[in-house]
Amino acid sequence: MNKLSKVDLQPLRQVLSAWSDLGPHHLIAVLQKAQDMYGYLPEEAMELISEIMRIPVARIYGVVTFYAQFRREPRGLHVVEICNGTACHVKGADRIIDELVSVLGIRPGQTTDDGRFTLLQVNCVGACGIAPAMVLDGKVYGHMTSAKVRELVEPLLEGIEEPAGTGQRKTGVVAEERTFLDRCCDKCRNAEGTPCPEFLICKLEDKPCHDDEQCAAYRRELRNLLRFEAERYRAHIFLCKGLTCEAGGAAELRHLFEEELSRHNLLQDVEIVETGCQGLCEMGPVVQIKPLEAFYCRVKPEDVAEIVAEHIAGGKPVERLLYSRDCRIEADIPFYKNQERRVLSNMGRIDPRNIDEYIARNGYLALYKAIRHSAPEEIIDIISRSGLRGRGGGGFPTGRKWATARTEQDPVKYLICNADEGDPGAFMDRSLLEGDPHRVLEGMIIAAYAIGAHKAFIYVRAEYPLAVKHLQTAIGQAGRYGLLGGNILGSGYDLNIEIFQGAGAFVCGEETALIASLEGKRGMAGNKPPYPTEHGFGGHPTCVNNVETFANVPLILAHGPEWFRSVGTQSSPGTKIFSLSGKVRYTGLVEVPMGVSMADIIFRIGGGAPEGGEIKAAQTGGPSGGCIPSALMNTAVDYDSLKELGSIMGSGGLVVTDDSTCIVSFARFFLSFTQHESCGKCIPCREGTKRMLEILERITRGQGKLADLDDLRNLCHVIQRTSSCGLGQTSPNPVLSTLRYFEDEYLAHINDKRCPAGVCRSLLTYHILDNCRSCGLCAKNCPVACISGSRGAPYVIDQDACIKCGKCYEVCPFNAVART
Amino acid sequence: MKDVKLTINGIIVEVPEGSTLLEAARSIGVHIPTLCHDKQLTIGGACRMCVVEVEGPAGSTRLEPACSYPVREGMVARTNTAEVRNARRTIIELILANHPHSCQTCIRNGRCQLQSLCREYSIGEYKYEGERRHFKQDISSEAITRHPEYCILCGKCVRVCREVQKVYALDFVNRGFSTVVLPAFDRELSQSVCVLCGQCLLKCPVAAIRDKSYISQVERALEDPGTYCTVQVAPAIRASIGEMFGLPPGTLLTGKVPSALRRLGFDKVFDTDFGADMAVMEEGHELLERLKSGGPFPLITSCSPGWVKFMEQFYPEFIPNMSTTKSPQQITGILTKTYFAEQAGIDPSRIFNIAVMPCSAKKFEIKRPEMRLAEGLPEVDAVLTTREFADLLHLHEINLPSLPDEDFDPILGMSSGAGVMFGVTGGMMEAALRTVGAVLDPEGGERLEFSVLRGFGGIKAGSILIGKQEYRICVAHGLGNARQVLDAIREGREQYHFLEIMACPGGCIGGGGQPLPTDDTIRRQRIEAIYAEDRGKAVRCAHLNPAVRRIYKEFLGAPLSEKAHELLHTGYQFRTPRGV
Repeated sequence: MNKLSKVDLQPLRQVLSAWSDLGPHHLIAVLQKAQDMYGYLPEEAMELISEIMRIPVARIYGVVTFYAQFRREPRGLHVVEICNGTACHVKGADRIIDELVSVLGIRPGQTTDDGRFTLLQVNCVGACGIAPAMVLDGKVYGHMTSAKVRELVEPLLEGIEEPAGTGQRKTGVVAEERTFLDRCCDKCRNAEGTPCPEFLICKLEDKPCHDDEQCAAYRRELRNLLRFEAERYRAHIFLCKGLTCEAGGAAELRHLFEEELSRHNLLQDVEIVETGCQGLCEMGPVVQIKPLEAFYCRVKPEDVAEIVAEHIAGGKPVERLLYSRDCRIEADIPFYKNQERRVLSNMGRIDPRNIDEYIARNGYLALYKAIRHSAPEEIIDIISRSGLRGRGGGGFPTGRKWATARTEQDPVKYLICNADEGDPGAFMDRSLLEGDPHRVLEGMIIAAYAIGAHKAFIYVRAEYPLAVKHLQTAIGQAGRYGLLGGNILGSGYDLNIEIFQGAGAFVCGEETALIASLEGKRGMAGNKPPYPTEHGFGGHPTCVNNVETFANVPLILAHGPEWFRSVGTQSSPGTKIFSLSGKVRYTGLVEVPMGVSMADIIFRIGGGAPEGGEIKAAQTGGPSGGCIPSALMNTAVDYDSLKELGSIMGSGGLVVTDDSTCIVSFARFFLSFTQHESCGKCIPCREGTKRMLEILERITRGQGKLADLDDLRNLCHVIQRTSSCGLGQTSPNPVLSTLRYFEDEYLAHINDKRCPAGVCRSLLTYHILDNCRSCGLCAKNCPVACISGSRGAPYVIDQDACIKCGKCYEVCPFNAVART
Repeated sequence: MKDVKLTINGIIVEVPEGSTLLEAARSIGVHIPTLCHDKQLTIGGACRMCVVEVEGPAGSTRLEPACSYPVREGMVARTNTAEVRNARRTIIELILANHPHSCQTCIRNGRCQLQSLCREYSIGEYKYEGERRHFKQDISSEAITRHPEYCILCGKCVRVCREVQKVYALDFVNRGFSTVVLPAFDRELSQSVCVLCGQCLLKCPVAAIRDKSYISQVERALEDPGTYCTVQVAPAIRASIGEMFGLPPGTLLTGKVPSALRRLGFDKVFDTDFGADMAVMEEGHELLERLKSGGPFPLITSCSPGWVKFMEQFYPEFIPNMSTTKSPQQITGILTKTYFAEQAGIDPSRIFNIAVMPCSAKKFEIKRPEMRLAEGLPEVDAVLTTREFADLLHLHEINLPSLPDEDFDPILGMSSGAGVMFGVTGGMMEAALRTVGAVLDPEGGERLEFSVLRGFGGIKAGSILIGKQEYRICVAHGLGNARQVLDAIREGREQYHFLEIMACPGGCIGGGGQPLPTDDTIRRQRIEAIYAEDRGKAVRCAHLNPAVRRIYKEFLGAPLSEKAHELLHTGYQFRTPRGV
């Protein structure tokens, strides 16, 4: 059958024969590997996998067609992906798509005939801070405009390929490597491969196995060095390597700094630290310099020389790059000043690839104490008393979940870290994993010990390659430091952590679907009860917690439950991280105590609406959440209050909309997302959200009827009450909350056939006003040539032919095109 | 196990811990509608038709699917509140919005579970108009056709294929609104590992899986004066056809069937039971030969065409173990076109030979190239399933239950109790052992019933003593059970002399061609009817059937003779696509 095919299966056969475990739950990883090798999944490859793994082809095909990541056809040479996230939607991603469609001549999902381009619309890439975002051949570009699309794509169209290797220049100098595994003297019990189980308290708390003045000095120096407090450095440069700053051009900065420092002969006196996301994405690329304090914003390659010469060498900060005259350092800036950065405390302050920098800030000390001095039940008790609730969105008490898993009699248990952050508009988990992976690992190890699991998984989106990379590094390091693997820190407790890359399905954030996916199946939601804590992965008790939940755990153990409860509300103690994006001046990563108001977050931290706009609503919880109108923004934010308002906390995506956002089409946007991501199992979700979407589409086209609102409400109710999993049950929230607060906008569409925000195309008309100067620019840009005119007379739009693309409105230099 | 007490619709009910709300409700006669639930399969939870109201804390209520929701002590549930009815109605309306509006012309009109629910819930309009899924139908296979546009995605076909038959020819493809049930790579069923057992069809609540119909072909033959129409009827039909006329499962209509077929215009009405007796003779002697020559063991039965196709795709290494004896259908078929044609002086090419079968895969079997006469004529020309047979009778306004009893035509209509036993699991082996036992131990007296072979267990294995010799035997029905047995043999964990495999649970009485519904309770009732038919027969051993003796004497010589080999035996082949 395969005689005529061109697919060479030999390499795949080799890879599979070297695979250590070909159990069925590795199917997705095997398919990912095969796709890496061939660029897509040829049928022959799937047949070979079926034969070798003994998995029926029908099942493999079912899995392949379920996940967005898998392709059955080769892709173009260049892949252009447009983010379909909420922030990008709010900031005009539709227009970017239109531009790409006209430039490339293909629709999303298609490949050009010459095989050079594939255009895709993809789920949120987590670059919400710089929306609208586009990914070209794997590189993220932010703040996209039509002009920028042409600038990026047109050279490729003409066959001008970027020279290889740009942005990947090798760094010249490797900083002196000092680690906590280094030995102070011959008496130290640390040895290569067998780290001393007491090294944490020895080096961090000065509880050595032997007393020696010299060794004590050595330890102090080591700590100072790794805490960036060593006096021998004149300065530390903290380069933000978060996704947003990278997309803004931070990639090249390190190299440039090294060049400049070397020019000034300062290379040995300055340490450069590449950090995770520092939070203030809007102002990226961000560079902070300590102790010569400065917070530099929007640093461009050409600014580097000046920073080094003026500031580092000359001691005089570069004023024009500072946040503002009054806000010279992080602590001055309202964005930071009004936050309570606990979980984020390491973000921007350490290199996430360096375990020693994490340890230097008392990392893994909580684990040491827990695993050596506390019984699992005591740990669960501490977590229960802290009142920590699941940060993934549901808000289930973490202690209670652990206790259930703990009491299960099955000797085999699993722990899963849910890092399948699929909500469009959310990038907290990505940032944490990229910027402080050890904190998450530490929380996981403590949790696994508490419930009695010896195997844990991190289910992370494949769309987050940097997070995966940093996790891999972190797991490898933790193993070398005796923090993972056998006999962790001399406690006799064993744990292994495996990374599993999700293959692109939002529903897999739901725990039963996540477990199905982990088992190598289609990510279809299962029935609850039984809950995963009783019957989870492989039928064994399985505890699933979110990234941020785990990241809170070491803090609670280190500082105690009372400390944790010292902020937040009675029912929702602690802090919560939000990713703030949309129509707000300062987008970024924000951590605040539960119970602060939405207004505090949006105005005091986010700086309110960008110039000229007026904030209309805040959307929380992504497609499962709702819109909170500006009038209610003084409500304290916690799990319960948001629920009362008809939204949910969700994982922490917070997208701000202003008066240019049409609320009906906003609801339609979320429904179309849910429709696309529904697993298709249960009827209310699969069929119901489809009909809701169709009704909303009709309304935005001006074809709505009043009775549609009753139908919508009934469908919302039935879908909420009867859907199988959280995705379905919460999918009506965007519609219900907007119907609740913005019914007048629905009515304007239905009764007056008018879109108050001027967004719904079918309800808009364009005409040219009398102040037209007959420049002809509109006619030149009209894609359907429906504008005519001549010099001296105003141009006219042929209303029957107009497709309402708005191009004329955009290009007119005299504001002579009116949109009504 | 502990009992749990709960309240359903105000009635206190006690059920074992671990029961579902659905089971609890059914135990007190409270009806809850379902579409995706099936006792034989794992819980689906997809259709949500079975939602009921469950009281939560502080006066709150939740809607929970009764099919999967476990009972708890003190639970209070209501199965038919206004909200529940509205939810169910909305769900039906949502299904209809994505389902062809063609009830009157639909093959399942009157037998469709969706249609019944529309009536129960007084659905008066197509409420939601919008996009409908479009998929091409698949009529590629010889036996069953697939119509995904009718599919409501209950997943029962997927589950029965995966869990019971373990063939895994189908799965869900795509997700969300684009979800569809398909064989791998969107290929046609005929290009897939499907063995055409038809169990999926039995599970389908709507018309998404159908018989490939041969009714019109049969009608043409019956109308044509130049065609000589012969028909044979499989053992299982007489125990199930009554259900299509409203009679309770297990009603035997042995005498009515020939009567009805004659009224339809058939020239000769033969009985597959006769072919089954012949199969006993041939296969029994194969066993005797192997016992003499030392193998290969186990000898595996070959009368179930779904099993044969499964073996060729999934376990071809067992080809040397297979009995080469053709199935009773093909034996009756070829003897009709050879022996009978010769005797009656009819040109076999004028004969249109029909088989009424409880089986989907029989339609595939007649098309196998081996199942032809030397001159290329097919041994059997068309197969009608039990359902199609009933449809044909309805079309001709023949009310089966009111017909007089008549006999099948001699001599291909004369059979023993052994032949009818082919209709149930274990029956083929029991029939064979009656004859083999008599040969091996002529002094041992007539042994007719072997309790180890009876009953509904999925795998029945044991030892029997014939004379002084002990023989290991095993019976498996349902291909999932067959897999277990074959794997055990392959891995050397079990050894048998003789192995009977039937593709369908319960054997032919549970075949893919049988009336709807076919569930385990009904299967058991049909099995009892077959046992009763056997007990009522004057002759219960194939070798004592006078017709069998006459055929050997007049035509074939002896079992396994050269002529018997030429006409009554076949071979097997490696078949692609290979299954795993």
